[in-house]
Amino acid sequence: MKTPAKIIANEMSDNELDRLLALASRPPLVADAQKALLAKIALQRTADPEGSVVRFPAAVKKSGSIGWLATLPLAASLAAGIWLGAAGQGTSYLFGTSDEVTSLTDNFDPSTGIDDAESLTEEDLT
Amino acid sequence: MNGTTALLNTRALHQPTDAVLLAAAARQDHSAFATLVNRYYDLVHRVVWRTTNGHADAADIAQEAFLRLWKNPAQVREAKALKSWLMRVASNLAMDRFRLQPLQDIDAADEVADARPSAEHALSRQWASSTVDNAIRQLPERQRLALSLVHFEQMSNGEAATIMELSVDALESLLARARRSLKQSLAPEKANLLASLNEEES
Repeated sequence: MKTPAKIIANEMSDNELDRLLALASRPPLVADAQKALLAKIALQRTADPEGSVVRFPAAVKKSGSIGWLATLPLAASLAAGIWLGAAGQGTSYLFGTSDEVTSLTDNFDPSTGIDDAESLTEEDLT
Repeated sequence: MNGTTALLNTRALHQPTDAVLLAAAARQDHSAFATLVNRYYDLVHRVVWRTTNGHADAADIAQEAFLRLWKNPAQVREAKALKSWLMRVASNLAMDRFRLQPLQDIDAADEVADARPSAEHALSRQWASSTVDNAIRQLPERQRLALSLVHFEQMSNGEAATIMELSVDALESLLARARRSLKQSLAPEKANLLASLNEEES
């Protein structure tokens, strides 16, 4: 069942409502609001001219740098390595020599490794 | 076409587009940003003012929306959507602020109290405005925003729906409910209000 208010509301046409809405207050024009906004922005720019950008310090190129000298020992080391390798002069500096290589004929059981152990039984010691 | 119209059209053609101004603003071009402010500030302020029921903070909120744009123009992905972006940011700011801090429009409340129909002022414009304002004030904020965009700012339903991030159907539903509520709340005073309006028009 419709309430009286609803009945009256139904009687108000869209056109009437639009006319009544024309009676609504209009927003006041705020004097100098735009100027105030732009002044605020200008103030921000002055206070922080770079904005939120964090810059790395600019790279400074050193003039007359002798940094390239650091490469000389590395180059010399590389050259020496190549020469020693080519001439076979460095073999004696390597760990182990050919006579230390385990012979395939050695009595060795790779499954346990205990065959090579010295016998410490009493019989063998005596 | 007379000379004045031709001149106006020529000027309109040479108005920099939002895209051009936004790109310049991104390069911290103050004057380009000032043009954008000049173009949209009043519109944004009007919508915020209506959304907040004429609260004194309306100007601050409108300014905040523009400050956000200035700080990061890249937030606006498409320059042609700048107007919608500004309206959306401003209306969201308004609703957020008054969700945290309930609206107390002291000035408006005083006006309503003083403007009750009396023997002398029953048909005055002030009373009529206050009555209509009061009815609008009673609307939920989303309905009030929809009404403000479509009725008072004469935007299309599609444009208002974009601003409010709604489908057009949802916006139309909001508008229909707003109008129904207004009809109900204004109905008791309909005759006096129309009389006041007729008096003003005559």
